[in-house]
Amino acid sequence: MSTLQRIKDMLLENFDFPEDKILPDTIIESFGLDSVDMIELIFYLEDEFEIKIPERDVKLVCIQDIIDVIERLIIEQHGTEIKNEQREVIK
Amino acid sequence: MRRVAVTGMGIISPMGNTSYNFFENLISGVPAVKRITGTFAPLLNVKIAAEADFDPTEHFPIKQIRTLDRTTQMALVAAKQAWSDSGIVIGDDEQKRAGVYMGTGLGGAQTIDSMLCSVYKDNVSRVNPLSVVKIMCNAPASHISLQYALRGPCLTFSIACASSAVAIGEAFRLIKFGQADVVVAGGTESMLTLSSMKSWESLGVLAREDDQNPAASCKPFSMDRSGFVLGEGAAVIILEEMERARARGARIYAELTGYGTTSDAHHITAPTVEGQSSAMRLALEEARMNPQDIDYINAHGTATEMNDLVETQAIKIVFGADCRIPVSSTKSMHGHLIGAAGALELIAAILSMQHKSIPPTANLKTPDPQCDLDYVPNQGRVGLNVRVVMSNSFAFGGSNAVLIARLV
Repeated sequence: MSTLQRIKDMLLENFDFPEDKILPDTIIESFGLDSVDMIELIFYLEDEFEIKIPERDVKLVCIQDIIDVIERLIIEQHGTEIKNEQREVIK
Repeated sequence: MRRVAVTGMGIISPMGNTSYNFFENLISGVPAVKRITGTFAPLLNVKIAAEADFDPTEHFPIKQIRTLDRTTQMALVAAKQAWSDSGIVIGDDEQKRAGVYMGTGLGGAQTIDSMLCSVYKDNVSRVNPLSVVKIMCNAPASHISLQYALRGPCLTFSIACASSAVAIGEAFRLIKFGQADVVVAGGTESMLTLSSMKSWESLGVLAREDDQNPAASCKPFSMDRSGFVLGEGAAVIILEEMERARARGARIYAELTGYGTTSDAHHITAPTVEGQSSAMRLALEEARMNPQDIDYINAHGTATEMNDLVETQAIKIVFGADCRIPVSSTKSMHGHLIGAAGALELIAAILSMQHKSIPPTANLKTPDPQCDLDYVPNQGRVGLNVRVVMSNSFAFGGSNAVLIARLV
């Protein structure tokens, strides 16, 4: 499953986001998340991908930023790319 | 003097999830106590409880459920029932004169249990970021305030088994003394978790399971009583200044007229006749009523050896040694809802006026010569003129709270 699909599944399971709006260039702010929602979102990402997202040095503006950060941290923290991963082709 | 009306009621309880079903089941006298269904049952010595038939997925979107402890979920549903039952509308200009007063003993017990389990047992280094806001004792009250835009005082009272009686009593005073016009008041508790059940078990206050019939395990005022059965649920009422309620043509279930609270200052668990009887007297004084005006007492009646004896003596001191007022312990049927108990039992007492019926003390088969009041044993009574009721709540810690309501 692609990173985008896993993020999408996680978001749909935990938040009230419209499925068709979860695209790489969607601005995260457009979901109307408050600060606690953002902390939760990071928590669930960490759970889903078994990584630790450091508080500093991460700037998440759009969904593509989440994908990039996760894929970078997986390599940094696990020394390998995502298993069974077929990288999403981004327009 | 401003008067205080009860204009709405909501219930999630082991005996039913509407006030009508709840009272119907109480009068039938069949307890909701059962063998517990939790997977941890084998680890308990006392394997009985009064669980509420409450499925949060029937009331909340799946995404909201994970943000609320069961305690808050039940409180919100009970508040919603009470709110729509009252038909109340709060104008923008009234929001600051409307408050929320809730009681709870332990707060988000299920979240505490699962969080501690993951930290200590599974050695998980991170816990859910919503743990704090799910566990905190004021979460139920705050979510009710958020839901209905109530911007007056939003307070939570934690006085063990008297939590919601105190919440209602203090809410009554808030309106009576002019500091609010409407208060959503009540209590909520859901602590049927392994750690809290073990704690209660260890304290030795839980009823032994009845050999023949688990449902008959809680036997208040009976010679063979052995303690209470833990229950869970939420009970919420809408308190409203009388003239406001009348002006909008609200249905008025009852008028709250008296509240008495005292502290034994004696022992952390053992009750005193003096503390309990003083609380009853204070409530009568505030209500400007005589003992003989009371038509029914919903007892604290926990079925511990000590409570039932001391409560009986305290009632006799206030109402006379020859007191024949019906006194019943509905805990024999719905279990002990701890922080929600006072509110649920006040509702039971108010409904006994509405339905002209008195619910029984179930499982009272072997009278205790030292408990010799009229406990309405085993059979509810119908067709009675019940006009004034008293509800007793006595907490561990020695706090006593007594409420009086009357028909209007």
